[in-house]
Amino acid sequence: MTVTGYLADFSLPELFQLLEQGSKTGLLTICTLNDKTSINHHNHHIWFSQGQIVAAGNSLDQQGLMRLIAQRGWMGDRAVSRLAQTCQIHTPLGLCLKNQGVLTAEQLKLLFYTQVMRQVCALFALPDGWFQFDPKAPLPAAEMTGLIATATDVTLAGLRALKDWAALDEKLPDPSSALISVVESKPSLRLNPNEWQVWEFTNGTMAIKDIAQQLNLTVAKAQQIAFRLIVTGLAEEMPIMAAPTTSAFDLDDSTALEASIPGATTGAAPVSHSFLQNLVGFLKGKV
Amino acid sequence: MAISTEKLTSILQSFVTSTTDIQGAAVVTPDGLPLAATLPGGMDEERVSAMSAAMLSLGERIGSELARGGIDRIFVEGDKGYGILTSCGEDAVFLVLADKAAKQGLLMLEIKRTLVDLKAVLM
Amino acid sequence: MEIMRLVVTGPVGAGKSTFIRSVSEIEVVDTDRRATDDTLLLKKRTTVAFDFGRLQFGPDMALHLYGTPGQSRFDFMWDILIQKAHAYILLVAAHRPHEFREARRILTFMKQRSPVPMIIGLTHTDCPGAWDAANIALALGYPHPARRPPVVAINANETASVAQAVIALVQYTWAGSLTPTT
Repeated sequence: MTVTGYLADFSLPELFQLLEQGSKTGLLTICTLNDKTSINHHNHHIWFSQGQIVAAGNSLDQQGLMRLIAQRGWMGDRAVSRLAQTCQIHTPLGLCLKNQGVLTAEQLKLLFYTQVMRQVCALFALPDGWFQFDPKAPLPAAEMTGLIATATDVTLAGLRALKDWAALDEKLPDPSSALISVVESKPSLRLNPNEWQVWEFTNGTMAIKDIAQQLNLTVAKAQQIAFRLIVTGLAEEMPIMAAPTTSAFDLDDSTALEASIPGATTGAAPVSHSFLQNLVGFLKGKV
Repeated sequence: MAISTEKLTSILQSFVTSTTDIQGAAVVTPDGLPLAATLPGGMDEERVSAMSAAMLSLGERIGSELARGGIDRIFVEGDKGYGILTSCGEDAVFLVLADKAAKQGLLMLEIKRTLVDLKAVLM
Repeated sequence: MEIMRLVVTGPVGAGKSTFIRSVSEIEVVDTDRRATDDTLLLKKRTTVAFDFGRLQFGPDMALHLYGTPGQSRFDFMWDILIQKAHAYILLVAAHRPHEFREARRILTFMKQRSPVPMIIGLTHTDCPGAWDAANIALALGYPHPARRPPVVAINANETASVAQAVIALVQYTWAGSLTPTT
């Protein structure tokens, strides 16, 4: 089903996480709203295959990759389109040109970097935009280099490079929340030193503002790192109930704190099956 | 007219400093947001506010459902001190935290006086 | 007296109080107050302690329903209510993607405090811009369709619809304590 919304409601990193975790294939279109800085490009397109990013561009004319190649001066427009016609249908243009010996692997990488990493990373700073994910859109072979990037990698790179976090400010975890790991082993992502340090605290007990203090980071910085861990599927934000510091109360024992530790209370007494049966029967009478 | 939080805060401050055995006080909205507070270090204003609102609403519910009438105050007595919640007009709840050593009669009197000042600002 | 306690949780304005009012046989014990924060954009009043509803279906059998406050400043109430719950339902407004992250935070909080069964209830599924169940489940952190709790669409204003959701929750709880019958 088509997914639509506004980036101010559901941010790009969240959207990427959703598309990756759902192994989605299709076209994500982002229309910028009242963006005066980019008069020419109001639409951004990102193609996904099985949750991975395969191409990006700002037009649907199937000429974007060719233009990029021409811009590099590696080949003229016409030469590329002539060669492209010999490509098998569904074969990514980049791969086809490489197989024909026209482009090197290095050149392809550079193209992909320009087409996907650079363009997509810039979108993280968008204050708002309307998005639509169309799972029925065909993959555009002519826009594809044949290279792919996981949405997670693009998110990590984009958010690390992001200078102005204003667009995502509301999405950042609360400084008084803790982080809890949702992966069983050490993350396989290549984290940077700061991210590793914060990762070490994903045990659900320390508030992000305290992690910041511990690591000599600003609270904002720690929130941003925490957000990266969350949207890359490594951790979840968890509200913790702040226990008052002992200085205020002069608590000589820790019994007062124990009550808030999960599992300290016994939970509910189980109900019988006949109870459940009766309840369901009763409720069915209301349907 | 806008409510002066400075005035509220200064009333709370003078209340907390001038009355012995009082450790903190707060004025919060009935839906649990802080208006003004002077609390012991380490106590989070937001949480204190939310808890005060929840407690007062439950107390008022007990008052009506269990036929106790309108609620003057809710009194929490612990072995380390008191927490007293008083309704402060329609738009505010007044919370006072006092030491175990506090004399209850005196405390109630001080609260009553301060309520008058607070209500004047809240009007 | 045998009592089953269900908790109804979810972000502000998901329909928790309405849900309980639609199915309770007693007049609901509510503790709502006039909202003074962002909640006002959605509705006038908001729960500050909990909502309580009851269904008595036998001389010694009753279902108790507790609705939590939506705002996270009341998380101490979330904690109190979930500790004694047999199961819970997370209500999410399908047309407000803005709140999916908040729903996810609540879910993380609940899961960490209680292992009891839960299902997801989607309200406002007929509103423009509503997401479908599969994508909301993804947004709430359930990437594997086979390993996610049941997701049901609910009209919180309709007794039949709410009863259906409670049945789903009870049956799911049942399935967990018994070998599934279907």
